[in-house]
Amino acid sequence: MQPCSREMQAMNSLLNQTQQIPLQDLQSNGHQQIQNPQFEPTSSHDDFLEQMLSTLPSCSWSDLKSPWDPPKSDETGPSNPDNNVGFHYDEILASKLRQHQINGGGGSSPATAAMKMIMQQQMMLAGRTAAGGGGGLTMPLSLGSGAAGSHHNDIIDGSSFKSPNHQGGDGSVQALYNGFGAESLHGTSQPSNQPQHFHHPQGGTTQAQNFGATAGTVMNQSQAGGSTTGGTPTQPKQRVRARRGQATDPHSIAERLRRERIAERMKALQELVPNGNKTDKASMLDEIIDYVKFLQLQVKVLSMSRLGGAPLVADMPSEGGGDCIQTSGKGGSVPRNSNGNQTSSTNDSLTVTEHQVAKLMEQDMGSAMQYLQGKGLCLMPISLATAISTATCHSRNPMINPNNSSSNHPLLQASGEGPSSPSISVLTVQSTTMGNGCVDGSVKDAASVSKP
Amino acid sequence: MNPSHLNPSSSLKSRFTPRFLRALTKINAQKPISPSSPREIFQRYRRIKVAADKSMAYSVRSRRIWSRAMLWKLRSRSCRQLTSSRRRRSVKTSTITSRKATMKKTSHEKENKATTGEDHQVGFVGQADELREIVPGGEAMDLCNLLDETTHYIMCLTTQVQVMRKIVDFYSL
Repeated sequence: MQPCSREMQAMNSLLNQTQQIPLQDLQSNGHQQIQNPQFEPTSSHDDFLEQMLSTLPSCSWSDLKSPWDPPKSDETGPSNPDNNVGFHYDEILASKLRQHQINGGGGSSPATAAMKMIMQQQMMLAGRTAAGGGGGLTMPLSLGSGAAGSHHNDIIDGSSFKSPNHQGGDGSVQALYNGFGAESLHGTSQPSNQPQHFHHPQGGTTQAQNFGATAGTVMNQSQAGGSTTGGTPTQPKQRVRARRGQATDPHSIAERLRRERIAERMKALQELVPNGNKTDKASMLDEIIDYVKFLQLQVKVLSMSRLGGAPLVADMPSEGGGDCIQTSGKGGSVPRNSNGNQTSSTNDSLTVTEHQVAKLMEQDMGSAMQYLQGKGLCLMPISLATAISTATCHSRNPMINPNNSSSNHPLLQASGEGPSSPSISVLTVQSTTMGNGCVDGSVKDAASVSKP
Repeated sequence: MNPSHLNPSSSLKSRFTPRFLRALTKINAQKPISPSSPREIFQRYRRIKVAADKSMAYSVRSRRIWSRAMLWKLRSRSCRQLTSSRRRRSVKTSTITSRKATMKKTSHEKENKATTGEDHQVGFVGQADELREIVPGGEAMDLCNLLDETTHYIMCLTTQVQVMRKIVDFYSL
């Protein structure tokens, strides 16, 4: 008994640590499949059976049986040690059994069915330790049913029980539980059958263990190759229970966590960034980049606006990332803006600007345009200017683009000169304009509204 | 994960605004009102922009990686400006700053190399690097932190822009 119990203890502990039971799933699936696996264990897992059998060398089955044969003779002795040994497997379950006063109900199938229902619920509560024993104890069910072929099914059940990732394993897990219930019944109520049962469960547990190893490794997407060591899934450390359909490899878990965190952050960014309705992550990131560039440009532009437009023409297009921004046309009012000093009036500064532009235009049109751009102004045909002014002079905040909010001042100041239209449609691609001052044709008649 | 960083806190605004206004008044007190030469204009613009960034970074303190990086950059720049005027110490501090820069760069490169692999796994090919260039101090961050910092940085930038716009509007009336 001693060597047997030792080995069984070892295996039990190993099995316990490898249990990954999605109890919730089992519970949900349980009640439907309560009856079926009991009577037809082959129904739902033929493919899994074949997979397992193909990967496992067939010799392992008989090899595993042999170590248990000698101790079998010990089991024929007093029933007490058998009970004790059996108790390792289903100590919790048996205690619950006795609580419910189940006696000799193993023979009658309706009773066993009812028992199994109760046992299942208890199994949920019992948890892994009980289920660990159940892996091996399904054998007696097949023994009881007398189907030799179902041996393998139950073993498969045990293995699939250990690897709940397998989708079709639920039915087999139910079979496991049912078998466990039956076995506990058998174990407690039919001592005569115990030697047999212990033989098979032990062989079954080792077999199941190996199956579990292979299943685990297969589930973990590595070729098991019928490994008989069983050491791969049976590491004596606490394993995280995986959700259905997901691997339990620590690396993949970390990877998954990382991806989830990144997805969270992307969602938060999506809310911040306008046009954040892109589903594609890459395009979303592009939007984010553009938006950050745009905001930085806005800060630059705003800081420039306080100066009254700096001739940073060379920098501007490169900064804008392609879309040129017309700085605010506050050329005249800037002195007022920055320090509140009442300097030369708007008209004066604009006149000065006009003269400057005229001078530059005589020399070089390009430089004139650049100067204007630096001031945040553009040239526009008179007709267009008047059209825009009439269109926009009514509202104080002509907001074609909701991002813009500050086009007041140009309107107010440039009443005489020209409209300050947001003219986003005309000038800018992105909505950064504070408002555009336009020098209308009083300076020149021309021509180009500068920028896209 | 951190819901607080999702709210553009009004406290940020209230911290940023007085600092920025103070900086602005200081700048305006220094120079004449309407500088003529473009160079002066440019300098003034630069000063304002730096003031804006600085006050923003100071408002955030050192709670964020990007603010720390920005502060470090500003300080090193001011250091360099100081040393350029004082030739004696220029060699020392320039070497110090250059050494710091190289150290930072190498560490960033190392981390960059380490993180780009992960970026490719997630699916961002070259964009994460671009983002790292844009966000100050982004070189040393993995993608997860980078996105976090970007979120906060965007929030701060928007508050900055809002405040500046309001100032401009106020003065234009």
